[in-house]
Amino acid sequence: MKNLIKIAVRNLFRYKRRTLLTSSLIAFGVVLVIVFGGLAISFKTQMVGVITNTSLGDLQIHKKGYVESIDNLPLNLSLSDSEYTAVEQVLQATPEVEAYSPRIKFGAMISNYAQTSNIRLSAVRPEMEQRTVTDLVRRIKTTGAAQGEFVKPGEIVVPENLVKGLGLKIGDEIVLIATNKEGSVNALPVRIGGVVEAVLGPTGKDGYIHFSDAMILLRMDRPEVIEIAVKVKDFAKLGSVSGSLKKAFSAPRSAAEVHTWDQLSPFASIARIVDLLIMVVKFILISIVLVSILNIMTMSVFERVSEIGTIAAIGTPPRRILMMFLIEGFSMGLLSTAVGVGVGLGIIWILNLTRIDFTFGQMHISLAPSIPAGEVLLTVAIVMLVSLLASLHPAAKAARMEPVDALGHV
Amino acid sequence: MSLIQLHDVTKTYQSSGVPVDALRNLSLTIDREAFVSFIGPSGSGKSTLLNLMGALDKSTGGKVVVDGVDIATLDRAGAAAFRGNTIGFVFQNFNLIPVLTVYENVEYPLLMLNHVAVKERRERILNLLDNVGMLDQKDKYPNQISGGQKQRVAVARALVTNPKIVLADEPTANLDHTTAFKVISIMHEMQRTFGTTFVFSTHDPKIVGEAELIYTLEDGVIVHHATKEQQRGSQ
Ligand SMILES: Nc1ncnc2c1ncn2[C@@H]1O[C@H](COP(=O)(O)OP(=O)(O)OP(=O)(O)O)[C@@H](O)[C@H]1O
Ligand SMILES: [Mg+2]
Repeated sequence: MKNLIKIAVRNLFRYKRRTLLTSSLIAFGVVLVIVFGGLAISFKTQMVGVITNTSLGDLQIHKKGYVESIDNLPLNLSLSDSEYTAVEQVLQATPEVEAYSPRIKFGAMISNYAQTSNIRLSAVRPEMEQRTVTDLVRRIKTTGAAQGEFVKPGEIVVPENLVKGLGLKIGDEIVLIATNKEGSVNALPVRIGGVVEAVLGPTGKDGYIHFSDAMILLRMDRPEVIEIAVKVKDFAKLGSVSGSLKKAFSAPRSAAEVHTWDQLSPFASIARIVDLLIMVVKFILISIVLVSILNIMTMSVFERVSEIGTIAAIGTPPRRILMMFLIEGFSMGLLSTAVGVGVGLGIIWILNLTRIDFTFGQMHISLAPSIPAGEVLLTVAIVMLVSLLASLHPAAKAARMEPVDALGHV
Repeated sequence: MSLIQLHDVTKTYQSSGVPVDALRNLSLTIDREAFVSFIGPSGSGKSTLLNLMGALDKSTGGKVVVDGVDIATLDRAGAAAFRGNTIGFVFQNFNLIPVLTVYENVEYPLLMLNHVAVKERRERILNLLDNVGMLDQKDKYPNQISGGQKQRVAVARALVTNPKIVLADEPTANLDHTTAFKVISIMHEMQRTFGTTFVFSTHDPKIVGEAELIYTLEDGVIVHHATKEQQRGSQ
């Protein structure tokens, strides 16, 4: 075996320029996968992070059927007291749940007594909301005096674009008008306590008020929770946590249903496109490796026909000849990936020194590319495997040669 | 029992559909420790004959038995193992492995055998390189030595496994006369030292004179055979 490797490696270095050219090509492919993968994965995690940590939460629980008509913000599909308590018990009994926040979501009119606009409101318990969507407070501008709770009873946090549209400023008095589920219209005067940057693009008109104010405005005797946002301890395990929660609520009499962030946000499709792009780049890499190794190994075999005849004549078993060429192709792949991984990680390291900032809608993303070790290993494994597969045909050809014919070949 | 037995051997090639008889009903035996040469005009079947004896090819008729083994019964892997154990080859074009040094080239056939201990391997290689006068060149690569030197290395490589037979198809065709003579005398010396049976083919009448037994082939049949002395006398 040692000897086979020695012969294979020496044969690679026999045609230096050709080997260099081919391995550069493969290395370039590896660099492409690592750098692009690093950027894309980092973009995706950041984007998902912004969405889940500032508004959506990692997953949400609603009354059954709510998500189907979520665009209408129906108030009649709320969790009753006992239903909410049941959900809460499950959440508290699930150790993977970090925090949760009950919300009342509804549409309202907002008026500065001169102009009126519409707004989507989330009525929250600030201390619970803050623990669930941890980055939200960073997006809220207040007078500065407000420490702790970002929205107090009697206050509203309005989205940035409404501030511009209605000419509002912090401290202004406005009035909220809303229809409750019985159809009666009510109004509630509140003071602007803060301004929130819109997260989900320029169309977002999402404001925050205190849970107790929503109960007054909508004339609720008892809390009627519309939505519970949930943060999990380990985002990587979101799938299994949501799975076990879904199971807990799967009983036919259960009133609740579970949706993860990607089922609720249109940005999930962007995340999927990013995944698809990564796959395309990997596919390109596979093609590069396949074609270049197949090409170089086929050339190697044809150039060395009489050499193959010689070693076969002096007693090399066909299987060993096969191995010799497989090892040659494999070493080629190994050499190239080693270089590619080195250069790729180097580029990622440099990109980290000079972070890339850009704005995606209203979303500010600062890319600090990094690639999970698993991705790197996967890339290495792909190249190794494809190198081996690509060498198989030429190597088998060499092993099948008849020594007399091969020797006669000049 | 003779080391090499050919009984009524025929070899027919298909040359673009037309059958070509390279050997026709040929029978002969070669004994142990013989030093045999085949001569004859181009196309007379010398290479074909040596390929059959070396288990590189199979006859289309008759029987080839080498060291008690019927060559026809061997599959590809079996034939390779048989060649590795029983036969050493010296080729017209030297056929050293270019990426291996002189030492490594001689070592190569031993690595196919697996059963030779490292220490013994080394001793055998160095001893043979010394015998063919190539010890001081052992770390050079084939492209750094002359044709005659290459063929001496090839002789060492053919002998390193202690084969019963060394087959050499026109081993001196690419060498000048003096070098050719030197290579043949080395082969002869090795035959005496190790008791190996040497079979070679050649065009060169002066080289032929070194052989102890000379067969003349023409059109795939043996037309003449003579001992060294008889050959001298007839000339
Ligand atoms: N692979 C082959 N296919 C078809 N015909 C062949 C093949 N090999 C040899 N022959 C024919 O068989 C005959 C014997 O060829 P062989 O090579 O054994 O002769 P040779 O005595 O070695 O000649 P030379 O002195 O030129 O090497 C020739 O007529 C040759 O054309
Ligand atoms: Mg010939």
